[in-house]
Amino acid sequence: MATSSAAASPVAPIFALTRVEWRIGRRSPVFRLALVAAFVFGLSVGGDPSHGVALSAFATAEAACQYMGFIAVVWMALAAVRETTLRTDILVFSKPQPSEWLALSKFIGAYIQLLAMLLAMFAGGIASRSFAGPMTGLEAYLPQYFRAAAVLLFTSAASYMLALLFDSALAGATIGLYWLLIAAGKAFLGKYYFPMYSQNLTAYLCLSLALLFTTLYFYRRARRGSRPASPWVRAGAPLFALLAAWQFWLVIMTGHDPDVHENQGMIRMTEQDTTEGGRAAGFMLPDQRGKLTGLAQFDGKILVIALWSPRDPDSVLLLDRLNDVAAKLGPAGVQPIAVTICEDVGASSLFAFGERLNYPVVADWGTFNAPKGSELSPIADAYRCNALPTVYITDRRRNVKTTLVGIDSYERDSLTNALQQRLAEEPR
Amino acid sequence: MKPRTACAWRSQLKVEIQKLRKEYDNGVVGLQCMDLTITDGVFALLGPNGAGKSTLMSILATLIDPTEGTALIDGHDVRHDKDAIRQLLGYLPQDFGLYPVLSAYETLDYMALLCNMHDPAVRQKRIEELLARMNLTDVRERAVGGFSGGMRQRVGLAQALLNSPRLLIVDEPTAGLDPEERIRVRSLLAELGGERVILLSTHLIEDVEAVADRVAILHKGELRFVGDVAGMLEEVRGKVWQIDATPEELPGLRGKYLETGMLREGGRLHIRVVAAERDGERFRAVEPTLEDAYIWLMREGVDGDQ
Repeated sequence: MATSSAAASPVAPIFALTRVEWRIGRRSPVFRLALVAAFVFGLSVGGDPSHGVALSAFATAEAACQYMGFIAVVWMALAAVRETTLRTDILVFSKPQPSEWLALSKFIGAYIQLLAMLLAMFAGGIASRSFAGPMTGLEAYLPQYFRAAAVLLFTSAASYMLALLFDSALAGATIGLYWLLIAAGKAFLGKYYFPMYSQNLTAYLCLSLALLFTTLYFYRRARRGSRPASPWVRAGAPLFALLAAWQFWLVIMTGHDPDVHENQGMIRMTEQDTTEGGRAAGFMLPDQRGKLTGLAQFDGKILVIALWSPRDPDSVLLLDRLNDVAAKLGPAGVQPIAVTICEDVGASSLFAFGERLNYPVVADWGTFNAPKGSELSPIADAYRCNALPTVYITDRRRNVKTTLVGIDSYERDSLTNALQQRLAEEPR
Repeated sequence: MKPRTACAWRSQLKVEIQKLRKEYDNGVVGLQCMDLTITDGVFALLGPNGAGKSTLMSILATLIDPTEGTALIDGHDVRHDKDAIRQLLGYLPQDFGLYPVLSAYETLDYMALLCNMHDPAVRQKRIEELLARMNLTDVRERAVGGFSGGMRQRVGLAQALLNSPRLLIVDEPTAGLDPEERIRVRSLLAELGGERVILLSTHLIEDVEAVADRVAILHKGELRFVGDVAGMLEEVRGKVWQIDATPEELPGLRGKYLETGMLREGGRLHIRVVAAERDGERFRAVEPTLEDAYIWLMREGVDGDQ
């Protein structure tokens, strides 16, 4: 009989077992229902005729992270205890297949099902967007899909681990409490608690893999007898745990809340005070390409400093207006700079590339989930910004001459008029 | 009696059990210090529910560890060499589930993968053989969720045979089946017995009569008898009697003798009892059956290790 031992390459058997897992999953009526529900949900969150594709992609991913996170918890918990529920465990575990391969293939199979649901949700988002307007910048959905997929990997791995090791779906479902906790405690918890922020993704990916490999190591350990676990499992668990620890250390040390209040650069930015007629507060923040960008780089230009947030859909409309400004008035020395007030540092890149923005979009990485607008971010604080979007127009010496708040900043002629006036006063 | 098959052509396998004891976490003792050796042919474990048959089988199938003692299968220890044992083992549990959405073929394909049969061509050939042997070829594409108890049992038997096991463990394979399916499963076991060691657990005497070469009777985790079917009958030869009685006499006789059966004929009753000695003229000696022997061996007050 063609057989192999646990020491042989696990790739072929895991691939074959995963195919069976996928087959079992896709034939389930619950899975089919979940696909339809995900598509309909995507339709409901993904489209608004007045906003761009990037916002649709961002909103779809945010909803996916939040709600699909719960679904992933339940889905994985149920997948983990499937053998016990169906009473197939006795047949399965009397066979020589190593437990770690079985557990891994089951995880991959169930995770692929979740990815299919996520795909259905994004398809819903794209479909609703296509009804709403032109579909330029469709590629904006791709990084958001991967962001949501990474978040689902974390909830999946955590739930799977608990359910599998305690042989109880309820144990896995307790991860749902974590999700509730971070949703409820957004204003109090440090940003590193949130797997959905782009800057935390690498750390949580490593943590997910560490959890998964730890599960594979401990799952039915006695079933191996005197055989040790597969070498890749023995190596994987500590390796990914170390990587996760290193990544979390980096995330915390690079200044995300609450340590941001101890960061000297951030403190200096916050201590500035911008008033109309006074000098615009300076900053040095990463733009959409990760390059540190500050106002000093645009000496002698009329600056259009726009504070906006993807969580405020109306302020997204401003981004397009600034694209026109950059194209038409750029040669005359007008320089738009958008400052993204969002806990997710990756939002700047998403909107800059998704909306094809031709000016710097910097991320205020000190943004915190504060309930009060003025406490929201160091830059918002420095600019005394209490409503989004707000546009500050400076003269060529960086003194704020005009402040436009809310609808004035992106609709009506206020922005154009203010810039025309500034150019008239300070021609090149 | 079972049809005797050709000699066991390759079953040199031996199961050696020494001082095997299993106590569960909740304090229930499943097995009490058992010594047993199992070699060629069909070996039946006979006993009521809770006798320890399934516990013994689960230990031999490497699903649970014994508390004390050793069990060696072909020289491999069930505690340590689990992978080696699983390679030469086929197991059909008493109570098992299948994936309801998979077809019979897909179920066996999955189980073959679990047996480390990675070559698709080898898998396909083996599955086709077993489907034909189990008379499941016509329903191979049907989801097993819609199978009858007998068909499920045949799928279970097929999955246990995928890796051509040298030791086949079947736990209550005929329980809950209709008479036709029961006969079919027994025939299959009798047929398979010539090719490997089969450890069969049952609480049905008919199963033992039909297929077993040797029998062990278990009661409350202890062995009451080990030997062949003829030896089992010898245990009660000369001790089985038939008594003609009226219904009014029945309670008194039942209190006095070990009853193994009863027949009603008109207004009279023919009671079958087992007793060490003839107790009066009414006692008429009859030929013993395995049922008589079983009830005699299982009677209260008898210690194990006979």
